[in-house]
Amino acid sequence: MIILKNVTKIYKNGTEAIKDVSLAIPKGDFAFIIGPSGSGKSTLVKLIMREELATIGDVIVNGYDMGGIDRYQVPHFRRSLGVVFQDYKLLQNKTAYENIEFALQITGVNRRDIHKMVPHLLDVVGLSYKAKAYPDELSGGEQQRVALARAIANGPDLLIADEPTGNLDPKTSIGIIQLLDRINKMGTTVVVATHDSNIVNMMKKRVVILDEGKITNDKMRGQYI
Amino acid sequence: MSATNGLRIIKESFTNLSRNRVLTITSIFTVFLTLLLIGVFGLFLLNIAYNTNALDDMLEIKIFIVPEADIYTLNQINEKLYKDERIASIKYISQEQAFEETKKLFDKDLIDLGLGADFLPASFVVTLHNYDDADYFVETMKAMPEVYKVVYFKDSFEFTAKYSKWVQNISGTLALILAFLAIFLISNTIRLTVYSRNEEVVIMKFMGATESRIKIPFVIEGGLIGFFGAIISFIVIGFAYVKVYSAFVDSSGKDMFLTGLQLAPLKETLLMVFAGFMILGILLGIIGSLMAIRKHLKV
Repeated sequence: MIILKNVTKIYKNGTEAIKDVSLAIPKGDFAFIIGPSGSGKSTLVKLIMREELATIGDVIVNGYDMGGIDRYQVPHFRRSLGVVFQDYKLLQNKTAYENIEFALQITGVNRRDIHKMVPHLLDVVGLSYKAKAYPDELSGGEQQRVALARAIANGPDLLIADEPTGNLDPKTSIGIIQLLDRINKMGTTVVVATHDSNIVNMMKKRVVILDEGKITNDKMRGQYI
Repeated sequence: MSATNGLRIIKESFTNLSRNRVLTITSIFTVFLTLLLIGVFGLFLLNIAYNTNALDDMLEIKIFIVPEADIYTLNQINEKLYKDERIASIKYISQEQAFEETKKLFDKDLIDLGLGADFLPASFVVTLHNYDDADYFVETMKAMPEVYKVVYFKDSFEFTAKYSKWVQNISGTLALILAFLAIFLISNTIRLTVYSRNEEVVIMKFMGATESRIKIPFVIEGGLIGFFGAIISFIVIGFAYVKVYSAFVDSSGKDMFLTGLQLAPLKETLLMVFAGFMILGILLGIIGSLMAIRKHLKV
């Protein structure tokens, strides 16, 4: 669950990226955050991931108050979160299997559980047959699927996807969004920051429109006009 | 952290060091040079400390009396020395005591050679209040007909004291500069590793790896650089000390200078150097890493 109360974010250079934004995304919801470049959607995503802190206002994600959270609690908060990036962020020297394995290793999951979980996760994203492939042997869509499998490896309550289809063709993009929808149906809250109107209009989910740092529209079955 | 995780982190650290090979080698070389200098300086000081008694002896003025001198003459000289206000302490060494001391320096019993105590002169060992008077005092003593010889190592003492101070100052300054250089280079090596692994750090961060899990591999890398630098320095210094030791000390373990100076014992010295190098090397590496992490790794 995400709650933003009168949040303003001003960067050190004086740029006011978010202006007095209030927003609530309940558990299990699927929401798109859309808007043109510079509208503040990346900053909003960063505030939710605690990559940035709000200058004014409260940001509460999965029960953690971003402003008051102890730095030693941050890793625990992040384990309740799955993140997908536009550029996939896969380690090039590791196979699809190893990329997912690595994510589990660094959070201290034991080897036996890892060997059970990774094949299952690859199966969820439909890439069991590419387990041994390196990122440069995979297409963009396949790389994003591996990134998705890695993002849900720790069973997060919330999945944040920042422009997940930005580097993909329309057909592959639909496949990724359908996968996100499937993950959402399994109970994970999904927030997608995008400017891809096709997928937003196809999904008919909640759409939060940002413009110049402010929410200009928030509709339950919104459209990207 | 489990043993498997620990091993994995160490393996990661080795891989990263080999990725930035040139900088890694440069850093190891700087640690090596730093420790080499500290080692030479340290061994010098250690040997000085080990020979403190011998050095103190250099300040003593030994007045040897002609072997034919009778007890009456010896008493007269003793009285004269006691009245001299320049003298701080007087110690009398009889012919017999001198003979016993001399026997200790040689393997073969001097008696076997047909020599007895009467061939050695009795002596007075004196120290002065003020060593500015030493030259004049020595000349006065030499002028006495009963005096056979006056031995005073003033020059040797001054040379050693002066040399020791110079070595101390130059080595200290150079070691300090090199230590800073080593920390700076290690810090740079780790900084590059941090940059080259930025993607990995971002993934680890968002997957919920703890701060220590992200930072520890970099600290280990710094520690490894220090460790390898220390090993190489130890091999070089150790080899040199063994060579010097075997050149100056004979198989029976006695010193070959006949000056009373001795080299610090081989085994204990090498053990001390090894422990010191390991601690210092690893410490330099870790400090360098921590500096780079603090400045460039945002978790």
